[in-house]
Amino acid sequence: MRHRARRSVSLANLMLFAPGFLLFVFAVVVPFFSGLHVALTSWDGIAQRMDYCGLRNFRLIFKSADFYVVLGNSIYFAVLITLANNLLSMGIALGLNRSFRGRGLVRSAFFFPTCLSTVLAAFIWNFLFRDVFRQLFGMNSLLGNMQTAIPGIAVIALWNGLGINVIIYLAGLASIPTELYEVAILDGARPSQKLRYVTLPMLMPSFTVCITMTLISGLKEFATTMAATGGGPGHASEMISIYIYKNLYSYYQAGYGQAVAVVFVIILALSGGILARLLRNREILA
Amino acid sequence: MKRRCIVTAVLLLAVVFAGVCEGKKNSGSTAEAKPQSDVTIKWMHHFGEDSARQWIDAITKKFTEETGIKIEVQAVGYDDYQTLLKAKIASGDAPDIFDLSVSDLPMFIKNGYVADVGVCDFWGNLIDSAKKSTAVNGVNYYIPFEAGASAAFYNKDVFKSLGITKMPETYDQFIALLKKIKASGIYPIAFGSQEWWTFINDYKASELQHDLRGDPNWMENLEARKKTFANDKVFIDTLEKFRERHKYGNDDQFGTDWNKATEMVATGKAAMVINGNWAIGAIKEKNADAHIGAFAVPASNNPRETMITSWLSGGFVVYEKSPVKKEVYQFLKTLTSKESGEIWQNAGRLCSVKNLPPSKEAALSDIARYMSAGKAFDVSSVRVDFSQEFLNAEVDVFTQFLINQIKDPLAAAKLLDKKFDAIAEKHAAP
Repeated sequence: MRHRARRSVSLANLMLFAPGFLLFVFAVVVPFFSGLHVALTSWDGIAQRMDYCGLRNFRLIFKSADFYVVLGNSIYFAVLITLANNLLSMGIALGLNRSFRGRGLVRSAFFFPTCLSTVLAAFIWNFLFRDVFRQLFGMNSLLGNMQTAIPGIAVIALWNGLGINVIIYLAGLASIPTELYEVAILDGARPSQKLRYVTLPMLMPSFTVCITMTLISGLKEFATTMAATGGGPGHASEMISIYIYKNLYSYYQAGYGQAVAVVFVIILALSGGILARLLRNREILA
Repeated sequence: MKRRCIVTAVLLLAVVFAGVCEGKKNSGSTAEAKPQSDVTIKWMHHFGEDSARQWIDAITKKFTEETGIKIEVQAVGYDDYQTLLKAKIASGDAPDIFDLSVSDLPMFIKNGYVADVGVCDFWGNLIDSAKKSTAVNGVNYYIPFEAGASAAFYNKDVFKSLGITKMPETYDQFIALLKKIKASGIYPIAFGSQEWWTFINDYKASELQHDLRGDPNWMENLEARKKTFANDKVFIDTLEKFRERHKYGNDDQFGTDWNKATEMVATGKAAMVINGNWAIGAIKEKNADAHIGAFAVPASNNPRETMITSWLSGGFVVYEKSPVKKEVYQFLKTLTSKESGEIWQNAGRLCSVKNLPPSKEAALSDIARYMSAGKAFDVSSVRVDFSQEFLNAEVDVFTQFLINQIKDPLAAAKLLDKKFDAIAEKHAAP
């Protein structure tokens, strides 16, 4: 009797789990495997039939010099944006965590650019780089130079996306118990010591979320680059997402593009997983 | 109660009957005004300019008024156009008429998506050479409505203020002209190279003519790797000249877009822009009073080789499996009519409709003069664009060369060969 009751409870639990599981299967698992199927064909993206070509696309990827260039661009951008975004947003959050007049207004001001569309942000910064900065500082547009195009895009992405991490760090700071600071003061800790021994360790969960999220979104970067430079000048700012997009929709190489997407998913899963694990270990130590 | 129900029912019947009569009366009067049809043609395009959209509005409205056939127009941004078109075809919702570039056409032909429009009776509306010069292996897949010409489009007021009255006919004269303009403090040429298509069209205006003169199948042979850039002396020479004239351009060329470049010509900050005839409309949008002229860009010291590049290409295609193909063919007669051509021409554009009155636009008259003097290099039946991935490689190498990251034109040619080899291997059948 008790055994039957336990079984019905576990069945009910499974029923609760089912909607989420089905959604995951249809939204993630099925597309992934159908994508894997396309990756093993030489499909041009518009033909009615797909011809199986085995692992040819994957062999071509690892032979392609362009693939390594765009992968390098994505990694460069992701590292740049992760470092800049987290340093800046944490600094701003520390500043905004203090009490001062007009704090609410200043917090809103930092979040405002996040509400703007990526295309609009790219348009505004294109104008600033090209016309305003030229008149003020006599400098050429960062987006028009092969060496500075990616840092230029990082500036736009930073301005457009900083607000989210600021909010996460602010929430993290708000959750640190004030008793810890009081004890530190009693022990004679200086402000820099409070930051090092109380604030930063207690912010580790926020670091895990922000750093992992920024790195993954940096690797996946598409919209800002597409709107700001389209991957140019030349291929100087072409990221891996744009490379996939071009193969799928412009080059009539949908099979190859899909194969790059599969390789990219594996890279994303590995880098995100390893980074999150490393940071979580630090959380435990803290 | 029963009586009330009967009265209500009678009243309701009276109202319904009156409505039916009224409806019949209305439909009868509408039928007299214009023909009725349940047919709708779906047209998808990526024209962004107001003038082109106004032309579409005018001709679709006229066609619907005359035939009762509705046209559902979907305007899509150029960047999303290919994506959406392919998605629509894949999902069975293909537009009945859409536009395709010549470089995209082979894939659509291969997959049987575009209809043979050679059988249609609109060809008589177009100039005589249109049908023959735009056939692909003897079949007409697209309607070459739009004509184009590449040249230098210059600000007449700037030239006048500098006392320039004679247009250059040789490369040396052209460089001397650029030096003279530069000495006056005005940028001789405005380059909007932030948008790659601008410098590819710039190259088409003169240098490409020399590549194609020796071999009309120059692009096909390079893609098929039957020839190489590094062994092509003409290409290496044209590449050097191409970079030479970029030295007479504005600062920060790769940080300047097309909009800004044409604004510089419109306001007299730059003297000219080298591109297709769409430059006229783009300049006039910024300054309606600008006086624009056109001249052929010399790339050699032989004046007989100085020609504008002209073409009839790109254009509208009909979806092979369209359920309203007959109606689309009917619409093509309106699209290629004289009235349609006049609206298009008045927007500062060129088209292939015959017997149009001379254009009021001075730059278009200049182009017409070159054409009537036989000084137009017609590329209608020749490939002038590489397929997309090859084109991207060309853009990449040209960029590196123009910004001096690659100094030697031979090194640029060798890099192009390397990239083309890799792409050709990727595109080869497995």
